[in-house]
Amino acid sequence: MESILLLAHTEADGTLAKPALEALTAALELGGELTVGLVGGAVEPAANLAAAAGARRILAVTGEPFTQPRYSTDAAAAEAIARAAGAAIVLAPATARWARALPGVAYRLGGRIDTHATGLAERDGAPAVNRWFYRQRMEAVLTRTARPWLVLLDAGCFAPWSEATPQATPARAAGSAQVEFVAVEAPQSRTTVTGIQAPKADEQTIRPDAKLLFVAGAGWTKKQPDGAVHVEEAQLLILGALRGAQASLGGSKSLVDLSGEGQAVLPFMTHLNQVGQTGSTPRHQKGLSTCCHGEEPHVVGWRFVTERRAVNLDPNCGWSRGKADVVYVADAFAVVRELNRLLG
Amino acid sequence: MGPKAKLQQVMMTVAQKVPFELVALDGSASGFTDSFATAAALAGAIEAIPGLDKSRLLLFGGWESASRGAGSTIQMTAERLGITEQFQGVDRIAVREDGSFEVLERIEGGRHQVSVCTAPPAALGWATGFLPEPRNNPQVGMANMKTVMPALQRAKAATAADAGLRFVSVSLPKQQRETRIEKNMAPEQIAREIVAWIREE
Repeated sequence: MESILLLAHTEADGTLAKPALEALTAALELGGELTVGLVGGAVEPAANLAAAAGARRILAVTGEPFTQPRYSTDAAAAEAIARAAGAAIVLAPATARWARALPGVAYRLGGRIDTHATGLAERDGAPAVNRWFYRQRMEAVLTRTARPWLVLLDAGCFAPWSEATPQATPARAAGSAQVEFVAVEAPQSRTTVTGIQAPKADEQTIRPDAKLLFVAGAGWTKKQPDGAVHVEEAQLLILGALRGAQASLGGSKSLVDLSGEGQAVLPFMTHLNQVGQTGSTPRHQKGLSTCCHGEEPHVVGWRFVTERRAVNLDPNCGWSRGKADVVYVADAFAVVRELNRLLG
Repeated sequence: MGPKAKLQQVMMTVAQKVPFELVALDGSASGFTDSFATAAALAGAIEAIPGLDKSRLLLFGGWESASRGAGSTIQMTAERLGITEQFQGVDRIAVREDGSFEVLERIEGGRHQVSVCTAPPAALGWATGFLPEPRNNPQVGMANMKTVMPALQRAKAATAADAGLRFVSVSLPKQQRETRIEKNMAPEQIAREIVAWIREE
């Protein structure tokens, strides 16, 4: 197997986040000589972990300019590490930070990049990447001859590495790589990161680590059997279910678009919640769709959801049949009301 | 960049929204194109625009397409044009009085990173944003189509393939689940079953 560079940015305390640990597992499974490249304000805990995992070399770029998740500085750091490592294959977790910076780095290095890789295996001595196309409607396995080949690995596709991971053999665990600090002059940047905007903790409806994805469809905003619309009750029921089940909220495109058009519907529902064609394809163990009647949430949004159930008034809904494990033909208002009482 | 016929179809919708000048490339828009080659073609076409002041350029493009979803074309296009202030997954840009602009980029966990860029040039990969689509204006459409059709006729052929890229296999997911349809359960029964299912490890 060719030489591998794993790029990771560290957290504020110098550790590696879960996506980086997953990418470390992927790199170790591929089996080539591994160099780990670290970027961040502090790198020592991450470097110790990389050494324990068996990295032959550990390269790092540190310093205040490289603490900000910003294209110009991240690209400069990654480029310098990649040139110092000279690896043929460059792996990195598909974090927002690396997804922003590494395509430009691939161009600078004269290499190529593939994003959203969901699998990685050795084939005839070279890596082969699994990736989905047309919004998770078809899956391809691809290889490239160009080097360096940068691959961004989607989160949730590999087990995060830990010292208990079987591939941490005694020889690897005994690794004692020294950190080589790569000198990089921070490029002049006109961009300053000023902060993070996030909903208050009790209003956060997107929880990537939640076991359950609760998908709400446009049916919640339609007329109910009494001939009236019950948006306020829908809001309370959905938020109650999210709280009770500690679930993450997904929305169908039709429901999210209603919110975007300024109509008084589910104010907590934004495009960030949207799953499917023009939204995300989140990874959760379980998915429960309610009042959804379309292809997007059931086919595309659920591609990486393992166990799926739906509450739907249409027993013949072609999109939930064959895609869900169980379809409950029932009024979602009544079911979720009971659900909240039981979870309460 | 796309097949001419497809571009013409798209223009029938887009041309009614806002006045613009079209520079078209006749090439594949398939999901199996390569972002490196696509970026080369796009950057070449931008470079060839007469009188374009690249020091003032704001390069916008879709963040991730529904076909390939590479999320890498804008960065490589911008690099070729010498633009190193870049933002991806952008939902909002707000220009300030001093000419600087604030950008909201999507990051993990349903959050946004807020950045301020003091001046162009910059590249922005646009996500969904918060704004509605502009209304159709037939007069704008008529004016645009006068220049769009000649631009499409002038579109140069571009290749977006990479000789070193090989697809070992491409397959459709075959998994069809055996769906249990429950038509006669009371809401309380359903809720109990769902709660038990949620709590299963």
